[in-house]
Order: sequence, then C-alpha cells, then structure tokens
Amino acid sequence: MFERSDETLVKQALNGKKSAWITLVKRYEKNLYNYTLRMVSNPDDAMDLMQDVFMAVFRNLATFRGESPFKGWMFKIAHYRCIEFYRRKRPTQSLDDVPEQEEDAEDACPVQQVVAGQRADALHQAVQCLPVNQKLVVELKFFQHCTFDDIANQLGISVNTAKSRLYSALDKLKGKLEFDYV
Amino acid sequence: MSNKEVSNKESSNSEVSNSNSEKELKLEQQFSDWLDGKPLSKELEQDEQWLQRVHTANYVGHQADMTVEQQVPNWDRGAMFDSDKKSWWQWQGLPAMSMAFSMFAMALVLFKVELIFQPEGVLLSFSGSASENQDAKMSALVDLRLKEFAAEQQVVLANYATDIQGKQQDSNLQLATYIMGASRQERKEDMTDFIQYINEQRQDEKFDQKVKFQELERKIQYRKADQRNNYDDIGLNQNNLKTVPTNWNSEE
Repeated sequence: MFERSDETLVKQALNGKKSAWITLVKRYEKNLYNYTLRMVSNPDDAMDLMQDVFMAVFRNLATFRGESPFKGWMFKIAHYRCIEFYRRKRPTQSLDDVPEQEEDAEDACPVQQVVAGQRADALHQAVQCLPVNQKLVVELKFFQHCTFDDIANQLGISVNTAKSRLYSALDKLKGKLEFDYV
Repeated sequence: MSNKEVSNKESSNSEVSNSNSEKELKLEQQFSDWLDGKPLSKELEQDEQWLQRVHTANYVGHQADMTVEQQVPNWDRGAMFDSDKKSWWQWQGLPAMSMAFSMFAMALVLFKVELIFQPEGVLLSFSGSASENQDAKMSALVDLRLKEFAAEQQVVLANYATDIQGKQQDSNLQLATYIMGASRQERKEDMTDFIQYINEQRQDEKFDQKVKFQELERKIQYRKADQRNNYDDIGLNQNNLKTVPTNWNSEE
C-alpha cells in the first residue's frame, strides 16, 4: 500500500487536512509513548507528556522545513518537553542530580507494577536512579540506537559531553545491575 | 638525591602520565567506536574498567532490545486540530492590524490630515492648509458682515437720534407750556389769596370801626345824657378822644 511521506502529511495537515495529521500521529505515537513512559515511568504522566509533545509539534508544524527527518525533529521537541516536565515537577533540582525516588515498588499503582513487570524491571529501576540528562543519553543510545553525533545534535550538546554523560551513566548502572549479570 | 636524578624522575613521571592519558583517550575512542557498531578491540578486552563498561553496555542494550513496547491508550488524536480553529477575534493578524490602524491614526494626527466636505466635493488637506484657507475665507466673510452690520446700525442710530431729538423738543415744549401755565395759575391764586386777605382786613377794620363808632355814639349819648343830667364824672373825657379815619388808599 502506498504510504505518504512525513513531509507530505505535514503539508496536508498545514492545509487543514485533519486525517493527514491523525495519520502522522498514529505513525509515531507508539514510539513517543514508550519514550515518555521510560522517561517518566508513570503511564498517566507519560500520556500527558506525549499529548503535550504532539501539541507542541502541531503548534510548530509551520516551522518544520523538512531539512532533517520529521522523527528527529519531533523527538528533539520531545526531549525539550521532557526536560520541561522534570523542571516543573522539581523546580529546585538540577538535571544533573540523582532524582529522589517518589515511591517504593510496593506503593506503586497496579498499572505501573504491571508495566514494570512487562519490561526489564531491574534495568527500569536502575535507569530511574539516573539524573535526567544521563537518562536521556541512555535512552537515545540504547533504545533509539542513535550515534553520538545524533545524540549531541538532538540534545544540543557537544559529542564529548554526550560521551561523558553516557560513561557516567554506565558506571552508575554497573553498580545497580552487577548482581544481575556478573 | 641529586638534582639531576630528581629532574629525571619528574620527566619520567610526566612521560608515564602522558602515555596513560593517550592510552585512556585511545580506549575511550575504541569504546565509542564499539558502541557505534565497530568490533571490540583487544585493548578494550584487556582493560578492566572499560571491559566493565562494555559488559554494562551489552546488558543494557540487550535488555533494551528485549523490552516489549506498550500499546498507546486510546486518546483523541484530532483534539488539538479542532481546538486550533480560532474564532475571528482570536485571528492572528488582529494585533498587527490593530497596530497598523494605530500607526495610521497617529500619521493622520501628526500630519494634520483633514477631510472637509463642501458643496463642491470632498477636500483632503495636509498640515492644516485647508483650515488656514478656510479661516481666511471665514475671516473675510465675518469682516464683510461686520461692515454691513455697522452701516445698518449707523442708519438705525441716525434715525433713532432724529426721533429722540423730535421727541425731546416736544417734551421741552410741553414742559415749558406746563411750567408757564402752572406759574400763571399760581400767580392768579396768589393774587386771589392776597385780595381775599385784604378784603378780610377791610371787613375787620370796618367791624372795628363800627364798634368804635358805636362806642363813640354811646359816649355821645352818655354825654348828652350827662349834660342833661349833669353827670360830669361819668369817667369819659370827650375832649381827649381823637379818632383819625384810616387812609386805605395809601396803605394799599
């Protein structure tokens, strides 16, 4: 079946074609939802963040020039919205600080427990202990298989900073995961 | 320990540190290349720290690949598309249009633009030139009207003065006539009063004279009776009595 390109769908959505926008959303909502779910580890927050990202994408659709792939552009917005989410949630905490654990696994809601059980739970728990900046680099490197150049480009940082964050994240994860793999 | 030995030791330490740093950089580059898909080098396998990172990265990558993606809960995907339909008062160009109209209004004020509706047509003028012309025309018209009004007023004033003068003459004449008439009347009344006074005086004198004549007559009668009866000591001496009649003509 012929599939319309992202650029075509964006143009049609800009011209007021609702179905084109819905097609575009359906194409990327799963990736985006799982990304936000990994970043915030709460289905409700993940859903809100995903809708927030799509809202920002829709509002900025006219600024999309098509010079870079739509997915990369959209995820760049998603990273910024994710950082905004953390800043709103904990205004006094730096993005390089280790986040406080909101609740124990026993206190988590049933939906969250099911979600956590379906994923690699140990990895999920360990990643939640990372600072937001390092979590973002791990997400991009291991879940979205980006190169360091892509990571640096998407997060607006240097390649060396991206590498340094990843190495720090790996060292922290090693301490959390060593019982599982050694 | 001699200075030479110390400097040799320092230089050897510096060389060791440089070589360690170069080795670290090389290993870091090899690890970075491995993460980007290149094969694992022997040097990385021999370095304990980097090997741990390789294991951790392998484990995380494997777990990430094994992760089952969650289905997206149902949500209103077109909601933002609908909410983006704005009402006319939320039109994006409204502030710009408002600004443009404000600037236009300011320009009209600054350049004193006037739109004058005349019977001949509509006149658009800048910098108040039309109003100056209009003022000049108005001023000339007002002057003309004032002159006409002044001429009319002069004629009316002259007529009024003439009327006033005639009326004044009539009033003067009436007043003089009245004064003369009143004066004549007063003199007449004065003369009448005076004649009446004189007449009253004459009546009084006539009465007085009558009384005196009666008294004299009585004395005379008494004298005659005394002569007849020789009553000389009646008390009245007829020889000393002198009566002179009043000369009315000289008094009047």
